[in-house]
Amino acid sequence: MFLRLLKDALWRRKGRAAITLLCVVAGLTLAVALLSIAADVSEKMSRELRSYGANVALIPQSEEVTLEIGGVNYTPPSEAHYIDERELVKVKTIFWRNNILGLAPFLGSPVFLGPERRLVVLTGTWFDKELTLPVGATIRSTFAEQIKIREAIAFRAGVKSVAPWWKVTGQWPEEASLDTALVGATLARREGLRLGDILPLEYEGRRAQLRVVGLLTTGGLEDDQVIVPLPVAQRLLGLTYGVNRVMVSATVLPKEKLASDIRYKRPEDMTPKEYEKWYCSPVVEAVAKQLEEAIPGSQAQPILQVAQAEGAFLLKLEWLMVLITFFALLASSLGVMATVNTTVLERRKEIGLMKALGASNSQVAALFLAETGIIALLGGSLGFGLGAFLARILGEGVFGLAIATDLSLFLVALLLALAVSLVGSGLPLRQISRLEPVGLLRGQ
Amino acid sequence: MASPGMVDVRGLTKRYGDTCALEDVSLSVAPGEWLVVMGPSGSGKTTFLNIVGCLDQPTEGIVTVDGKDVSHLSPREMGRFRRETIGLIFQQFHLIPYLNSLENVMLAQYFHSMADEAEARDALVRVGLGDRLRHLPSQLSGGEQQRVCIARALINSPKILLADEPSGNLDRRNEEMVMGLLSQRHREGYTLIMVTHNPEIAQLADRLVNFDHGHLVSEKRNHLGQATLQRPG
Repeated sequence: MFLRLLKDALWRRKGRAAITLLCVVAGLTLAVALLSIAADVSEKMSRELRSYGANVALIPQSEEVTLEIGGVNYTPPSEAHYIDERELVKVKTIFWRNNILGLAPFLGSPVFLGPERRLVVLTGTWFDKELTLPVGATIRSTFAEQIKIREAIAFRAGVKSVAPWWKVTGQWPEEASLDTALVGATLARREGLRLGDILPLEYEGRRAQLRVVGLLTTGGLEDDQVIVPLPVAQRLLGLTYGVNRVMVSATVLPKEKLASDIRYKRPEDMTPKEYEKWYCSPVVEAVAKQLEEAIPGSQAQPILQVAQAEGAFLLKLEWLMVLITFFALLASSLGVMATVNTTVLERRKEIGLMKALGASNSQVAALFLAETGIIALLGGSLGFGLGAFLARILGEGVFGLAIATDLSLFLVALLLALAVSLVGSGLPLRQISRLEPVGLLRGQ
Repeated sequence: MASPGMVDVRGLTKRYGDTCALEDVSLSVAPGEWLVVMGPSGSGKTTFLNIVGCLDQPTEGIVTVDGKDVSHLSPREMGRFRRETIGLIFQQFHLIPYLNSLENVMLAQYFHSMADEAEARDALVRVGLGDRLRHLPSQLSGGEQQRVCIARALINSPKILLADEPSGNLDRRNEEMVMGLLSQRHREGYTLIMVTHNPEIAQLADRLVNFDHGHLVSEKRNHLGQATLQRPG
């Protein structure tokens, strides 16, 4: 009997059921799309944000005060400490190695330009170099365990991986070239340098003749510098393998994502268990700590303003998505409420009759709940499909990311749809419980 | 001391705001008795029926049905009591338009306990609708719809039948048929309270009470009880 009543109620009010379905589908589509994006966006946006610069700086470990202005070390090479560039491949041995998206070493120093011996800043770096962690190298597999790799790990490093906004007019220098250079656009303008010109550089009696192959625009200090392949700078400064700064770009999560018991605790104050939990969390401090452990003679400094700004941005983004999802579902519930309310008004005489025949409020309410429940399940399923599609479109169109909707969200979608129908039916059901059969049978 | 009635009403008053629909009405209906309530429109007879049928509550007074004081029941208790004890027959039939005859009868079973198709079919056969089981109300005549309504009222074996102008919308032939059915139920021992404007129908009952402006103004025991309606000519 119940099913018969249900079938008739749905069939006879197809239009009304379709409107209710539309409300649920609209809300659920948006909710599923935003939840899919929110589930993926932290990691992917973090990766995206990495294109705005490195978030960890490695500098040589030293107890001495170094003289550094504008990222250039003015300490004489003979007195300075350096990181060995050959160790940099070890960034791929840390626990969070897959989160390392790029790194670039820098060796900077003032040198003399031309016969007038004007002081300019020379910076050596990698542009796009392939590094390989060889077979048998030891990597950290868990907090307490290290294993030897059976296959070599190859990856690319250089400024192209940490500073994709560098714009070169002309060509990038060859990585192995010893006589080519990029000149910052500002410096080129000031010195009247053009592509193909020869730059005579000199440092402590060592000379280099470099051909300008590209003009560099970064919007930063590099616009006033000469940028060369790392070996050129090392040879001119009389160093082998030394670099004085390594910028690392790693995907990290905001500190606020850490468990509350360790979120604001300093690592040195943590219990061993807490430290392990912190160490195995992809927050910038933990990644920096692991880099410091992996690269001998280095000291890692998280670039906190970048990390914190990113963290705040990602959290706000997530909150925004949660809020929009909430309001979408609320709007959906209000839509359901309006249609169920109208249905109750249309069927009030029928409800009155049922009550006159002895139907309890719960028996009548069960009919309406089952009706909206069926619509909700159908709407939840359709909303899931459309939401997954919308997430893909939004992901590609707005974020430039390929977003895949997790199938486990299907269950969440059904539960949310049921919640929407329940909230939407709340007030109308209250109205049902207040309807008195005597008035309804009289047509009042 | 008189034996307790199926319905005992003492000092029943019902007000709707400033309007007094019933005032200080007292009467008893014995088990198995057929009582007819008459009176002009607005005299309070339907209000009386609604209160006895637990569809409404008195403002003052005590109403006892089948030994239970129903004057102060909660809506939930009224619903439960209604489905266990009372069968309702309406002037407007009040059938669910999208359910066929059988399903309309089964609906009352469903709200009472459990729908039983065989039992519902028997009830419809007893009111002469064995060939109209799958017909929708819109496919039935007024008399047939009222017979479905009677079958629905009887399906849960109520202790008392309340009928509000059951033949008010019927032609003479259907009226006879419906009254014949109700007379038969009365002979089977049902207590029957019926509101009507028709004095001929009132002749069928054991007792007739008249309401006017909310007061019980007269009462007459009918010695012609169990007569049958005769078509004129």
